[in-house]
Amino acid sequence: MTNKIDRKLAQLKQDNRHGLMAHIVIGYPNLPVSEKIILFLAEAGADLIELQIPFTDPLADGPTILKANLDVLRTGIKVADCFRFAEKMASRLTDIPLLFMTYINIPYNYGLENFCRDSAAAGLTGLIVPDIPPDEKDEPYHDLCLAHNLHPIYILSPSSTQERMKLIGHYASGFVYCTARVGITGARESQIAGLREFMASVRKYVKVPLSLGFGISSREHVESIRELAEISVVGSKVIDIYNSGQSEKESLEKISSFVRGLR
Amino acid sequence: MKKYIVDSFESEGHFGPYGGRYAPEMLIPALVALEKAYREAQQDSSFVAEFEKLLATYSGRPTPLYFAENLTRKLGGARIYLKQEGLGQTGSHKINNAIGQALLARRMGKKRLIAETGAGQHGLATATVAARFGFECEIFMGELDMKRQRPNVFWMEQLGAKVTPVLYGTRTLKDAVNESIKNWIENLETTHLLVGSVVSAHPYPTIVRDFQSVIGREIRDQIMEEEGRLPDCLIACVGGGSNSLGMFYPFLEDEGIEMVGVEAAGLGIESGKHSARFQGGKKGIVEGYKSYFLQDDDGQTLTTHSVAAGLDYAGIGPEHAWLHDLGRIEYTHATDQEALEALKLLLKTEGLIPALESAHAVAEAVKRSPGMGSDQIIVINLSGRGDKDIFIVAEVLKDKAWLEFLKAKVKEGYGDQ
Ligand SMILES: Cc1ncc(COP(=O)(O)O)c(C=O)c1O
Repeated sequence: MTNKIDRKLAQLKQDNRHGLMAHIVIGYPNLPVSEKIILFLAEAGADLIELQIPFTDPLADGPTILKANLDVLRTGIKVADCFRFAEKMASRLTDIPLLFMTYINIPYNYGLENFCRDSAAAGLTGLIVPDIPPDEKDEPYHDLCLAHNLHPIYILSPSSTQERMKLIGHYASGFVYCTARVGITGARESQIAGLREFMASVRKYVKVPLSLGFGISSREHVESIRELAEISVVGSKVIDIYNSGQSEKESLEKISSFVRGLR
Repeated sequence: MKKYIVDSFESEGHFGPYGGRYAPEMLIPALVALEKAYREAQQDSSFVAEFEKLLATYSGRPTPLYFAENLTRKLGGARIYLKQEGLGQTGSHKINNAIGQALLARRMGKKRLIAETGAGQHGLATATVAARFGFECEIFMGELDMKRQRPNVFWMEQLGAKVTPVLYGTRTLKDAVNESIKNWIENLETTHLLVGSVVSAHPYPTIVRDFQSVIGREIRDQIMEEEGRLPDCLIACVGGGSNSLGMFYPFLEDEGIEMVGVEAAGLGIESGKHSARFQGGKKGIVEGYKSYFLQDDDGQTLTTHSVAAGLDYAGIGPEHAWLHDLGRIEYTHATDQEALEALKLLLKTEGLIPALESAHAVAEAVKRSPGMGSDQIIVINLSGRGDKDIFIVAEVLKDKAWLEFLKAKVKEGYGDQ
């Protein structure tokens, strides 16, 4: 059974096109508007979309996404609402692979098996759960993902040792999500050089395509990494842009022109 | 074959189903390096000797084991001993672990220490060792805790630490833990995260437990000297669980000894405003480890409450979860009110001011001792002294004179000159 993510990656390769993955927090600023944001992102050319299920303790998220998580939780959103929302989006965006991003306590509490089964049934194609390393043997997360035709997306960063790269390379499925903590806004050559080295060592151990995210905010950034990764990721920037608009309409238009500007 | 003690390096940080290393990939190399450094240090006699020397000459160990004669008489049951951890440098057991990890951080070539803190006792201990060893230091503390533990904030700052308020979530210990981990992710090269309790991802629960188990080892020697036998019952309060595990650990395989961990029941279990993880908490994986957490039906962690900031936390150390399931340790709880009553009792009978956290353990002894025989022995861990709690205790006891004093100070233009 092929996964929609694989088909998308094959398509990008065939078209010799650099991919773009966008991230949203489900229900931010509220469910109807986050639905619109997704449709605008799709319309503007996002190739894959990460849907984050909000959590009280999002360990790996910076202030923008953290705040969005907590704001959404205050509206009383439930995990069941997130599944319904994802299912609706998946049925509208048949071309765009959707991935759930969340923290392990959410699937653990839901029941890992049920979570994987229901994610697949809702039309999702991958999971990004930063706090479950593949070698944490106590929970069969990796195998359950595969059993339900979901790609478990693993993460590497410049702090990763060669040992970890090898290990992630062994488990990698779909693509690997590389983060570079060094923001390249106002990119300096040295930072790009460091990044180049990091991505080159990842390539040595990881045979699936790579995505790379680090506060991308312009076409130049995307240009500078297209030789390093198959996919660029825009994360908190989308939320920042939404928040910078004076009205819903303006915010959505800003997001749209931002994403178009990256292509 | 040991029944309750697991080799947590062999088990990769698992205590039965609990614990583990559920950390973002970015942190894994740092956790692996810490594990390696710690295991090497353990084998290095000069490391161990320096640790012990500092505990003795800098912190003032061994801390006394005191026979509380008046309290014993008043409660009319078992003979009660108090392990006076509050007499160590910085006023709580937190210093034991802070000294150990500071030595470890220096060994790893780190330049900066960061820590989470609830009551501020761990932050204070960390700021103290940072000053002593010349580390840069930043402490993350919930905004709410900064307000209720102001004296500790003051001293941390005087010691040269930067105290950064955490303004989101519960604005207490849980979010301070989150923030310290995030800061670590950003500064792995230079910084050691000095975790203050037996929580977080492997190897922290093991390291902190080992550094704190000096408490139990000393009690063993001291009670043998005093009474010629081991105690019948050990009691300690349980926040993350470090003073209790440090006390219990060296006795775990002594089957006859009862051990009681006291959680904070806040305004009462039925009120929902409490921090008793074994009363309504369930299994979860949060902040890097699997254990019991107070959480809702979706797995979102709940806002907790306790008058004692050091106990006001949604999670509990994974080894406690395991010992709970095994039935080796009994977990009970004391309300804010019971802890305050116990504090007043200890003040009046023994002239000792326990920390609000430790007062929870005293409250349990008040309930338990009268049913015990006069030939039985209870040891209570007084994990800290209560000087830090002056503002909060004065407020809940509605002490008029203190309030008048504060008002007068402000009116005088305190600090304006
Ligand atoms: C005096 C005192 N006792 C107990 C605790 C609770 O922590 P633990 O359960 O790790 O001993 C604290 C925490 O701040 C404390 O300051």
